[in-house]
Amino acid sequence: MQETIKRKPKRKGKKIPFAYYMMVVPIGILFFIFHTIPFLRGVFYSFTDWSGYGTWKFVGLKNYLYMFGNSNITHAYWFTFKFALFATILVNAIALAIAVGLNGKIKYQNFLKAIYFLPYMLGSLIVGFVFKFIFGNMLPSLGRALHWGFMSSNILGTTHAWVGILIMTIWQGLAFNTLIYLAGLQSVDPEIYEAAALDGVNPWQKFMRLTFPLIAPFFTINLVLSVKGYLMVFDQIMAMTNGGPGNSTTSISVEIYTQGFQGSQFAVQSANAVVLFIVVLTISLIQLRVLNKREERLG
Amino acid sequence: MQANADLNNNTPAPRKSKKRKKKVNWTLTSVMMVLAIFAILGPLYITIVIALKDPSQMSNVLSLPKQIHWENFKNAWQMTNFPKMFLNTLFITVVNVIFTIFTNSMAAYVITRYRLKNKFFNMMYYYFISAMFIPFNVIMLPLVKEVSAFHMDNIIGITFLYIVFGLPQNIFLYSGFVKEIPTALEEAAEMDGAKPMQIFFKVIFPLMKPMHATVAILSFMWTWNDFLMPLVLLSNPDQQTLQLAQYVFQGQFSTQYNLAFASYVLVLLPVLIMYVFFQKYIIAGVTSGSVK
Amino acid sequence: MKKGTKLLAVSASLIALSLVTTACGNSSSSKKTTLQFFSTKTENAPTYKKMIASFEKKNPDIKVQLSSPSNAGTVLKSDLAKNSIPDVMAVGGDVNYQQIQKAGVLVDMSKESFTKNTMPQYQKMITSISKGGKLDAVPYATNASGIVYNKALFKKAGITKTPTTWDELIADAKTLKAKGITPFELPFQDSWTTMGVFNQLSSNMVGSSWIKERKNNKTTFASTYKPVMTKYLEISKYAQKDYMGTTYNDGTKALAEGKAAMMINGNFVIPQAKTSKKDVDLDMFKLPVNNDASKNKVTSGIDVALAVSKNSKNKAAAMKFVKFMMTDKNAKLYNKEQFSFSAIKGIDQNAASLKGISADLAKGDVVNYPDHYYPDGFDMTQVLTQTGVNQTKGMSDATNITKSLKKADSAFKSANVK
Repeated sequence: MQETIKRKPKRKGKKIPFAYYMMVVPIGILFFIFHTIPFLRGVFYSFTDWSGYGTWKFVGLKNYLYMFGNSNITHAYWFTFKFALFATILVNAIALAIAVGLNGKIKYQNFLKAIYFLPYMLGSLIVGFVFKFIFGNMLPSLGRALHWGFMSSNILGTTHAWVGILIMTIWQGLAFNTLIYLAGLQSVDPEIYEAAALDGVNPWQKFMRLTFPLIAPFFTINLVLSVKGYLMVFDQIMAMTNGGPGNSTTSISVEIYTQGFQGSQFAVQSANAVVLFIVVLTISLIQLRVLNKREERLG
Repeated sequence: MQANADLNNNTPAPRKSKKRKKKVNWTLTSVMMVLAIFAILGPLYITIVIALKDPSQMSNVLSLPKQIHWENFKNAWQMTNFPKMFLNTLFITVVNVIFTIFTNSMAAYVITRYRLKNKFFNMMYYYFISAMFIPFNVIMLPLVKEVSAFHMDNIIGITFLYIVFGLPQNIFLYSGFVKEIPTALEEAAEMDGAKPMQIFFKVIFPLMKPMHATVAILSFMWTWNDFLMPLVLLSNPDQQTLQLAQYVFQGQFSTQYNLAFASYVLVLLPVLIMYVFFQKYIIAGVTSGSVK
Repeated sequence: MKKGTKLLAVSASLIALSLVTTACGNSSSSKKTTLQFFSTKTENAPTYKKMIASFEKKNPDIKVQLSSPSNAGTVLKSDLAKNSIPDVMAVGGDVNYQQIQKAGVLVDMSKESFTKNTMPQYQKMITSISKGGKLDAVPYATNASGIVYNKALFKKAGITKTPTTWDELIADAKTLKAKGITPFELPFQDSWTTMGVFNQLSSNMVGSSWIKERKNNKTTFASTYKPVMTKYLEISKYAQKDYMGTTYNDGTKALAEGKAAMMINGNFVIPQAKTSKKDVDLDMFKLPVNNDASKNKVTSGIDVALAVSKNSKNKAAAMKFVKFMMTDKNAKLYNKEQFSFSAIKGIDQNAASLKGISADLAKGDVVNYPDHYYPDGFDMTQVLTQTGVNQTKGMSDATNITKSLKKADSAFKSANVK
């Protein structure tokens, strides 16, 4: 930062060589064509009755009003919010606990860290298939053998199907969050703890009063990324339940995919995508604001 | 935020804590070990064991195979057209990583260096950063329409899209890094009469190496494991990726779980092998890519 | 640093490898015509593969690529949205066909020589759901709904005659249950199987003109379908315990292994079950929906119809392939392996496993699947799986039926746009 300030007066007024524009503008144009234009077109479609082909006309806010009256779409929002909330809280709580454990005075630390990070490497579709088998075949037969009623049926065929998806998501989501928390914990200067030890605080107090404020930025990163990611949940649902039973595990993304290509719903699902965008944007901005404020307070 | 300096180098375990590790907490070590083995490695163990058995050995899913059935892999290999899918995925991944590193770092460099002096580049910066808030699902439906109009619903087309779509995040990553590079080197090169392109490739590009590694790893993970984009964009059976092929072939496996799991192992194996060899770099790369 | 160069070397060689191999792959196949053959069913893939192999042998310059994804309907729709549908499509005579037909991207099949060999009643099943009454797909195989049952288990329970009325069916289910045999195996984790039960009940209990009235909002599910749902729920009371968590594949396996006596679906259950246990003795009878045996009919529809894309670059090759599949030899092969009924004249189904219903089919004494007339975007399976979950949760039948039918009506309303 200092350097830019120093440099500024010296270079003022100097023209930036054309070559520098050439290093940004072409790819910027491509990005505009393939990312921004589809986005704008999507917004445009959401105000029409276009079915993906043929003629169309403007229908104003009809698609948006329709969305709120369609129980499948409103349920998709309800499910996605519920899922994102539980996944975010559980993944972050468990990941923080694992990170604290890994940061303790343990042996084989690097090896264990590598193991805990492993699920990050695996595609959620395949992991979803594996968990589908575990829930659908392995656990029920185990449950029947042990006469455990609650385990003898496939959770993915019950009203708790979303819990099955949640468990798989937690299994995979822990990896990344743990890594970030661990990076945060390792950045804390041990001398702070030594000073605290003299004051005679207990471990819980130590964590809440000392450690947590210090790793708050890492908490922010994890929270923002988790919420954003889980609002988009798609792969594991396609692998495990296809949105069922009923439409109980149909997330917003699954709804857009499965219904969007149906002629009658193309415009409606375009509106759905726009609402999804607004939701993600709002949540991300609120989170960043609130958490940054709290960080400032804590720091 | 002094922590960042530590995170950007390749040894995430700070030196300071080393001397304090004299007394090992064995209870904690074993708790963490047991948890790792059962919770994390358990499902992977199940996957591999099932892949090696035949249906007659499935009464106890968890037991080790009495007889190893390598032919599951052979059959899964043929059934899912594995070599073709593998090469398709490899092509997308490798080409994407290489082009991403060159094009995205170049754009990020210019934008970061000149955005404080030039309104245009500053605008570009905010343009890309705000695009980060637009998830793929939002542009999916219109994109499918556009891609088909351009006849880009194939491997080459999707590779191109990956390179372009990675821009916002990569500009964000690179720009944090470029800020830390002193301008003195470029100024010296400029005095010597180097052209902008030369300055970038000879001076700056090599200095960005740690961030290249991070971007490469993140791009690789994204493209290798991505499912939604191939699902909506690729239709020709010859032009599918490993993930998409897994989804398409699910129904054909029927109750032949051993074959299905053998095919899962085939898909997971390349990533697992890579992880064993480059684990340290991957972990460091992902960390520095997220903690800014 | 050293590791860094290694990484670079590895990636450089990887790109070289992938470039070389993709390039090779392209050049070798470019001389050939490649046909994309899309199928909405997964279980007949082995039979198609056999046909493809012999076709390619005869036509060395044509390569056929089969694709049969699990979520075929959605995949086909996204292809349609992309304006790039496959060259040849094997679709059911249902909403999947309706959607691509409506988009006007299919070749008219009515003038083809092979079409003339197909039975008129099956042609009518296609034209009746086509825009403009056109025949844009040629009927190939038809299916028949009914109950596939395990003969050995019926014998074990002392049941000598298959039921012909609803009361007899329930009595038999009670007998089986008393002997410790699960009467019905319902694989409702795969939601489409719910229609296997619902369609047969609906086609025998609600007249075929009902759907037109519903589309014009002159009637509702709630006012008509109570008796259907009552029977639907009664069947699930005699099902295996975890019927909402059982997949179709696992269900057919259980049937083959003698873990349950009956599965209510279609003839296609038989080949699927036989993949788990080759020598299992299965037969079929029609679901006796009513207590007046003469009113019970087999629900039968187009299981596979073949269509060709209008925009295909290889239309001639595509037609050649369809013609090849329509030959007697291949139609017989399909019949034999898939235990289905051919839409081609003179190709009879003589398999012992289908004795119970083949007579009805030969007579043409059948009713079509009600859901083939549903508007696209109306997903009855979503309603029915919810009904199943409600039941396993312990909701009373009366509440469950009211709730489900209300849901069906609102889902229908949102899909019923013109």
